[in-house]
Amino acid sequence: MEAALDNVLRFLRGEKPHNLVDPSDYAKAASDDRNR
Amino acid sequence: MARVLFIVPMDAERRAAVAKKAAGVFEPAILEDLPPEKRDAAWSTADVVVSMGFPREFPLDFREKARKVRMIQSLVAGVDHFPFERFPPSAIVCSNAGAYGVSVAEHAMALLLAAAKDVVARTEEIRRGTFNQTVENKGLAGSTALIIGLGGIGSEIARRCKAFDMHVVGVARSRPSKEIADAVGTMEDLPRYLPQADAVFLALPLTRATHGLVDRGFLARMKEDAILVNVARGKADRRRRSVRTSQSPSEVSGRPRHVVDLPRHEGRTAVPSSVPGSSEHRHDAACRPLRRGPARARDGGRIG
Repeated sequence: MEAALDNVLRFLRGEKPHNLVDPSDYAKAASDDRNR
Repeated sequence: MARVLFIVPMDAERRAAVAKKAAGVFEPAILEDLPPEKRDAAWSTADVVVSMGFPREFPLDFREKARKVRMIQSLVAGVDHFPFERFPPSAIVCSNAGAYGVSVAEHAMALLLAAAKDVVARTEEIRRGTFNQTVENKGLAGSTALIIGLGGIGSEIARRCKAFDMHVVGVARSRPSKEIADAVGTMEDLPRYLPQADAVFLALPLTRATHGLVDRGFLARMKEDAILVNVARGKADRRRRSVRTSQSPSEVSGRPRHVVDLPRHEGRTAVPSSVPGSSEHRHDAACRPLRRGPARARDGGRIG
């Protein structure tokens, strides 16, 4: 939780957040966790 | 003040972390604390949503409900399960990669050692009253570890392999820094590196590019006695479909929790996809059925 919140704070300060995801990387690659 | 909506289960530890970080910076809202009649308002006023990413967390009409949302922050490293199609196109999505690097790497090493030293089988022997002092096991010092995926988790695995005096080779989508490995390359180098590796770690995200990476060809390039440690998603590994080993590898929490020695690849040990113990993830032991069942698998039986 701490690391995630630090990233949210980074974003809210107007800085570029870490671990930006490109959704196009994940098309059709869904794991079984989709069903959870 | 920005509003951050938490749509994950919130235990005391998480609530304390939010209270500490929010002070004066953002207004937190915790979905599970809100009565149903107030939830629509919470969605519509959220600037940021913090989530595990499971589709059930997001309403089907999330895009319409959460019109203000600018950021969706995951608490987990892998985001392949996210329902991206429901998200507003303008909202950014961030994973929590790196947050679990140490704990997953420790677990990966536990799996490697358990397989290399045949811990489960030897323990079972001792329980049966057999103590064979002549049995050989696999040494790590001087052997080669191939780490596929040198992100937060893979880098921590590399550090630990170096501490075991292993020669560390890392591959990643883009050529990683050589500081954490003795040799580095990209995925195109895999066919060259695989035959050299005594231990292969899968520590890469499940993406379109990595889906089904471990197939029959991948295994055929591995040394006969190499160990494969999978701490990535199960779908990076196509063994269940490409090789008829078992009718139904059991799945716990949606992940394959074990794989078996492959009849066509005797000698190779494959250990389970795993989840580390940490405050964020509390799961049962993953390596329970580690070496239990090649024979049962060959018979089409269920392992574990």
